[in-house]
Amino acid sequence: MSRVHTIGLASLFMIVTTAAVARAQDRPVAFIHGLNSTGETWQGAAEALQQQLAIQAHRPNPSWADTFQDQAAQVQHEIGGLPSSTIAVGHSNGGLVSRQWSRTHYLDGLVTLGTPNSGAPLVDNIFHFTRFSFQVYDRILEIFDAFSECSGFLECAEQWWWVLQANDLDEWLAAVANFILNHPWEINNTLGFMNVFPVLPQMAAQSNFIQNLNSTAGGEQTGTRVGMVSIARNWNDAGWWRVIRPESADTVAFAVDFAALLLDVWSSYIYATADPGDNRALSIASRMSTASGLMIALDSVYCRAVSSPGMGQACFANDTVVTDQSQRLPNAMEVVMSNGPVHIRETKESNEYLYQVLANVMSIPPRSAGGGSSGSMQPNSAIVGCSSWYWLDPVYTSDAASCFSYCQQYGADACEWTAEHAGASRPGDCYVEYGDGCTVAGGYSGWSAAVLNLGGPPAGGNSHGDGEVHSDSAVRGCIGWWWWDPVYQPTAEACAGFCQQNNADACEWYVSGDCYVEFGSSCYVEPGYSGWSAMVLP
Amino acid sequence: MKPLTAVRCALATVAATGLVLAGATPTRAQIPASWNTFSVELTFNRYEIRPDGKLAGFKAPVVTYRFERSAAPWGWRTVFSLVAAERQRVQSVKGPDKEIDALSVVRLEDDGDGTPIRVTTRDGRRPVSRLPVSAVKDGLDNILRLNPGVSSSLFARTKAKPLQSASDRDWVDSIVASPGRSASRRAALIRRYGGSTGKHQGFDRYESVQGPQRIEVLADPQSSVVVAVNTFRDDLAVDRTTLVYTQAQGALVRKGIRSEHRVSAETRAVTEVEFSKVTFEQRENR
Repeated sequence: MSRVHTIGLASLFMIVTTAAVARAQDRPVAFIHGLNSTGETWQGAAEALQQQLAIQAHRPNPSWADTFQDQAAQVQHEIGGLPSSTIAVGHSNGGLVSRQWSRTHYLDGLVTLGTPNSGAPLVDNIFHFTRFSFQVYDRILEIFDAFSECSGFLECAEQWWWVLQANDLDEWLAAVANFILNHPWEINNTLGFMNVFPVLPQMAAQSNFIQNLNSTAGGEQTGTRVGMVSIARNWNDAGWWRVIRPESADTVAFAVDFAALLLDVWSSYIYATADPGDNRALSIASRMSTASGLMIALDSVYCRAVSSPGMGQACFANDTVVTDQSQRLPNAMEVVMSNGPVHIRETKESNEYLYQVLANVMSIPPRSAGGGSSGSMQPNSAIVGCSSWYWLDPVYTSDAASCFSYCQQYGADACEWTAEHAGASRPGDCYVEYGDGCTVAGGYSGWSAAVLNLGGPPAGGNSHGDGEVHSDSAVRGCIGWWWWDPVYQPTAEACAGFCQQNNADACEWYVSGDCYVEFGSSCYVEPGYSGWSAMVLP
Repeated sequence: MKPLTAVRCALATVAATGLVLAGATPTRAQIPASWNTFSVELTFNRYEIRPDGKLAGFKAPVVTYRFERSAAPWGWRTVFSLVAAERQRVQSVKGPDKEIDALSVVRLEDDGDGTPIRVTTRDGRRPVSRLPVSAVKDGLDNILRLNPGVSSSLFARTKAKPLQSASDRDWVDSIVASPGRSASRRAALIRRYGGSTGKHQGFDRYESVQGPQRIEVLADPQSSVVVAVNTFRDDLAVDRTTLVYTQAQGALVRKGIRSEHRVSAETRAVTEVEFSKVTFEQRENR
């Protein structure tokens, strides 16, 4: 979990414990978690929604590796005393547990979110994708082997060795190889696919459990049913990386595509200009071209792994783990989140949609006034009347509620989010704003706004830097390190200011103008990196 | 000029291995007396096969690029752009099936004067093409740590792309083999491999042993154009490349290359490159 979320949830929790105590007449809502998680995964959303709506949130803790039948029994044991007016909201496998639970406990409402209602082919195909990843890695190594061999022959070294270093091809390849090598295992670990029995076989597409669940008419005893479907933003660009590290996925997608293009550029160059009798040149070009082909195919292979039982050819839009088709809940109303969160963020970044479902579909009333207008985002509204008003560059969030959480973590005085293009603003832009005397005004279509008056960003994280910009240096040693896609800043100092403004733990700038806002603990600055400037914030 | 028997034979050999030749035959291949821009389209078809020649499962999207080199006062400027890429069909609950692009980077420009390259993505952006230095450092460290056979000297910044004068145009012979250069092509083969060791299927055969490798080259006896390059290690074929030409206005124009290399006992990686729209132009006002 990122530092950002930890802080965000801590802020939410403080508000909830002081302002939104559930009352006896509130509607019970059971938030049920999925694979490799606990009830804690729902804490932020459940408490935020309990603050906004007249619900009484419950977060049972079934053992996620057990069979769905056993998990449903555990839920029944834990909260089986809840009345039949209860609504279950299940994320991923939690949706299947909820459906199974409804066979023994009537549920007035059932909401599944990112749930593999028709199974998850990735369960079986992850090993195929892992094998493919190793293949890509091996083909990249073969490029290094070919150049190693070339370097042993004077003519080849003179004529072709430079290709490996053209446009820093060697560095791109090394970085991409490293991205690819360990990632499948991280997917397995994060999603909980490693040695997870007996539930894993039940998740597979067309498993007996899934077939039985979807074919037994009347088996589930539910009232209103809603299937929430997330199609993740840019799901097909490095989906294999986005699945567990969405923050840096656009960077990695670019890295793989760019490295592949460089390989094709220079293999084309060799094919087009080398003496056709030069066997080493042909060998280098052939290996470069082969690796490029596999790299270009990475995204589609991952999509097929997510989509097609038995690694067929089909590719469906998805949330990086479950296809949109499978997320459909039979005999249910459907809510599709385009540009939605990735699977592992769905419990954290779907609040706006969950609010709409619970309020408008399940007819749960909002809490009566008392929290003022600062507790949540007001739809069709904007911020007006601030003095000393300034704001941070917008970041993308999937919905207004996520933007609200983001604003809280940065101690915002006010917060705005837009669902539409508006001037320079793009859909999903979230603005953290500071100023005095801000108020919310209605009549701004597509915008959501809230006044928080939190008084400024919280103190920095747990890094131990000096806050100085060091030239010819890089950031090293970060634990839990991740970064945003780079933005252009003209100088290292401007980049440092941007990083500070965004509450980064560390910061890097390259002479080309790339500025990286970075997060992680235990980072330090290491000299010896020409062209780079680095800073670790105190 | 009559088609060369040997070249036809090479065409047949390559066709038998499955090379699909499509697209326009080069029509403006004759090298004009005055030109400053060369361009060619290259279509890459990549897949893996089993020892029996059947597809092993993996097949990359077919991609076509345009490769252009134009003379500048300091040397050669290169522009490499995506012409077409096999698109991925995607199904979704959100409406009808659609197709999406496999590649997000579509153009690279290298002025050839040492200044940074320019990259354009499919949405028209020009991203700054750097990774965080730690990502690069970690990548290099792990490659070296996990693969002791890879030498760190590979990553030392010792070799820059050699500057190539705009007046140096011998490289064009690789794509458009003019009849007048047969002797120099033969001389190059002899310099690299020694004299011909005999005939094989009507071609001149050249052979060389380099360490554990034996290299065999087959060339057309009249034009000395290379039609096949095979590499053996311990008598096992590790690389096999065939080159296909077509005739256009007196010259032999490269039509395709098929490279096959052994990646395991069960699998061979195949790259087919089709060359089309070979063009020489004299462009003004550049």
